[in-house]
Amino acid sequence: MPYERYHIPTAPAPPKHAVIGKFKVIRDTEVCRSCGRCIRACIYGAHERKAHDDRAMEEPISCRCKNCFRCIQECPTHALTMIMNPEYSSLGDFYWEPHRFFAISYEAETGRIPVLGAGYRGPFGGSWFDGMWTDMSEIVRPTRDGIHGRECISTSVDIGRRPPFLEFGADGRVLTKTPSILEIQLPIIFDVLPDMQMTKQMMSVLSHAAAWLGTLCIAPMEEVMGVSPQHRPHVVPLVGERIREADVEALSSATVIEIAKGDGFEGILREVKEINRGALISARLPMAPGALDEVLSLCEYKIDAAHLVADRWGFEQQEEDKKHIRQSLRELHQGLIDRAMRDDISLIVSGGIAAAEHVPKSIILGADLVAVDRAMMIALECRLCATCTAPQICPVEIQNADHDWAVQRIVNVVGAWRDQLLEVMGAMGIREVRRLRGEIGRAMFVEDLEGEVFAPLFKDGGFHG
Amino acid sequence: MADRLPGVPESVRAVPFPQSRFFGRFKVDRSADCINCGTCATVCPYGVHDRRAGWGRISHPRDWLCIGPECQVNSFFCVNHCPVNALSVKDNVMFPSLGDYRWSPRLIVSNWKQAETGVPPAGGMESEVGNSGGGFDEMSIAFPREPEADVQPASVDLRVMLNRRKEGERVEIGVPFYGGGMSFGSVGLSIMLSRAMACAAWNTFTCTGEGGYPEALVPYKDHIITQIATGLFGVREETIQRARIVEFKYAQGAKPGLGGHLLWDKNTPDVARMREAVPWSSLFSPFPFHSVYSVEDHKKHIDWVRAIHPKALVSVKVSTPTDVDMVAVGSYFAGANIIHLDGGYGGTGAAPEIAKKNIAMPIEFAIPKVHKFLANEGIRDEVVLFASGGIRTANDVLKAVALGADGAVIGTSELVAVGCVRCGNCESGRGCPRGIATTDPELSRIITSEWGAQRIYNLFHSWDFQMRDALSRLGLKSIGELRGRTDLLRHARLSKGAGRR
Repeated sequence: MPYERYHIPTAPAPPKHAVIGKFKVIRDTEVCRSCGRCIRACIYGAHERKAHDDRAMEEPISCRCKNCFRCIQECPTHALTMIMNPEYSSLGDFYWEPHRFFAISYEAETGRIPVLGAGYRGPFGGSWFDGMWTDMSEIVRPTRDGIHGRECISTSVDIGRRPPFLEFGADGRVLTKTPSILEIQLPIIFDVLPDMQMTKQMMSVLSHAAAWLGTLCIAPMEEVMGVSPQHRPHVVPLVGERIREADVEALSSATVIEIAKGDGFEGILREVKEINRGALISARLPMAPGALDEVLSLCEYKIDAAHLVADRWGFEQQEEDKKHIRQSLRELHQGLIDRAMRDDISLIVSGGIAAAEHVPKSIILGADLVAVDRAMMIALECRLCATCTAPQICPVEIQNADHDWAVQRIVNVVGAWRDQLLEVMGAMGIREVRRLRGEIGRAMFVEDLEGEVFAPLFKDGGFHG
Repeated sequence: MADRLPGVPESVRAVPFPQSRFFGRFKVDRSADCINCGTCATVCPYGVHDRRAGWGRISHPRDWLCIGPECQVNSFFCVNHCPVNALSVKDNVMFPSLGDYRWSPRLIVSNWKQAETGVPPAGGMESEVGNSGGGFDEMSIAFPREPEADVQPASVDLRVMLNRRKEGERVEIGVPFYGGGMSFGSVGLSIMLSRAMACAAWNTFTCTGEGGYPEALVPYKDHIITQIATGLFGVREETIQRARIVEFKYAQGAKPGLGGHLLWDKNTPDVARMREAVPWSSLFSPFPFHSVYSVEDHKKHIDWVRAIHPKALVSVKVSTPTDVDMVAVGSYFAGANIIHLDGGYGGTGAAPEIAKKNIAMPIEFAIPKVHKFLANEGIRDEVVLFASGGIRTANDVLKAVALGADGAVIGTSELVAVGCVRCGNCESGRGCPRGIATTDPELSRIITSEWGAQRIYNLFHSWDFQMRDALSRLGLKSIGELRGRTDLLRHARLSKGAGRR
């Protein structure tokens, strides 16, 4: 086979609906003299004359505004005002913040890494993933220049178990039966979308994108046979509480099968094994306290992967004292290491993966790979407004999205995320994403730094009454 | 000082600021009911209302001078005096759309006021911190009720010696900060000149960045650091030989572990000529220096510069990984005079957003870490430690010094002084619409170097004033005495008794 370096082909896929900009420019038509100075002042084209009447000014095209204030300072009659766009501020929620939508929509459109001028503009540290910095190498440690393709950085990961050691017979033959392992090119797979969004059309888009990217796409059992046969090898059927007659065909050809861990788990597992002995098995279970014990019991069944599902914000699925995966994943990974069982199972984590940096951060915390869901909907212009129960009022008419356009948007986001993963790994001098797993020492946590650096300094100083 | 260099400001001069006068915290509205009686112009002591000689009508209110609705306690509150109730004073609805968490609208406006007048804005320290909710923004200087010693502000010594080794030229700066690298290409020539002129006036330095050494800067060469970065753009023997300080940029805080970025649309023919590159192509400096993979290689680099220019001081600009302390010690043993730590929140002309937020730690953590480590190694007094990456105000400089640095390197605050609004669109297209981070022939005409120099000069004047004032209130005779005095800092959450105010 000829050598081929993994590459994600991105192509422009412009949005179908105007991107919600952060700023809104308002023209006071009572005061405006339509002199047109704002047209000359704005280098982004936010001001135009009316198409049918040259004497009057059009409403400012706020989505082009980039907050430079040139038009406002140059308006001779003070007719222009800029405010934060309320539509922008009300996007998403405390976790799926407006700027995440902005980044994903840029990535979906261009397939590129968002690059901007000026330094960091956000809060100092933050909670959850935001209170975590990744390391970099300089001078005293080797570095990698993978970003511009000068050195190869591998992003491929394995799903499956690894025996802790090999046994050899007297004749030198390997006696250990090595379990099968699936290598995929990306530590990112697609998860089942929230109920209302998992339509046939989305299924077809996601499976197509997964096939294109060489990754996997988890699908509800009943949707699998609807997927085009050429993309079906990339589909992971999700088995619920029972297996119907109709499911046997889909299961028998699957490479990976995911089983929701419920009461009848053992029975279902046995049935699945009977249908398809060779498939890798992933167990889907909620990220919750006690997840470690659950995962340990899965190891006994020789399950290949555990898919831990946090809620949409990345928190544990329980009522109170919810921990974010930043903490629970780290504890889970450490728990498995303490029992020398980390390589007995792959960890897939999903829920709350809302940005490119969440991928390397989850892996540093101990995941082998992440599964994404809502971020891919946002790539298709979804605003998480939760009106999906009535598709006819979806503000971006997602149900009418063009198939090829949707696939390209998703491929673009994943391509941009992978490039950003390369940036982070290049900066750290890590050449393989497999080696990034659990590298807690190559990350910095805001509370640790505060404890180590600030606490001793401020313990008794700084107070003169 | 010997002959004055051309364009170097000599004293504070109020500079008109059409580029930012549009903006104030408050909005003063005059409705159509106004009868142009002129009462408001006579009562307002701040000059918000003005009837220009020979004009029948009152001019548009100068909101940026207004002190806001709080003024209503004063007898001269214009709204109360207006006979037809035509005036109103409110918060400016535009205010929140300016700036960001780190550079809050108040910080930007306060910087502008300083750049316009040369003195700190009235209202004192209220605008000394941003809204980032951590780091410098959670620290304050703990002024004692009674200073330990009686020190007059005028006698406070702000000078910093940049060479603490036994050998080499003695280079001293007059204020505890110098300008960070900004390349020709990332900013325009007039901005580079403005910075050089202002730094010459305050006897400090500015830096070429990685984009060559424009000829127009040569007269100011005693105040310009030549930067050598991984792309080696525009680095030649003579640019090294004319510099008193040579800076190796190993990494940059805004994009640690990544090389420099100049996107294609800003690589104009002028820029390309300076960098000896092809116009209209994206220029990415590699990361890292492919000749440096160890401290020994690093020493080879420094020896190379010393062979070309034996008298030059060497500064090493590094970012802030977990082992930043080891990097600093290594740099010292390799022969560096200055260690310049650039924290994760540093400025840039273009960088991936993921790198700015997520790679390497903020400078507030790195300074004490490195300061302590160097002290434990017994070499703290042989090396100079400068910090950058989010130093916005005079207070930030003082906080950095109190955490353990000898001084700070600044950048964005100079750009804000010449009219930057932190919109963050420096990277592509024609560059900065405000004429700062651009080499577009039309846009870069917006700012002249004389005007820019005076603005930056004024800002430095205000900083100099604030630092002298603060040090005298702390009872310290020099900036050196503040170094490492974390006992003079108060952390809003971590200090003993925090929460009590």
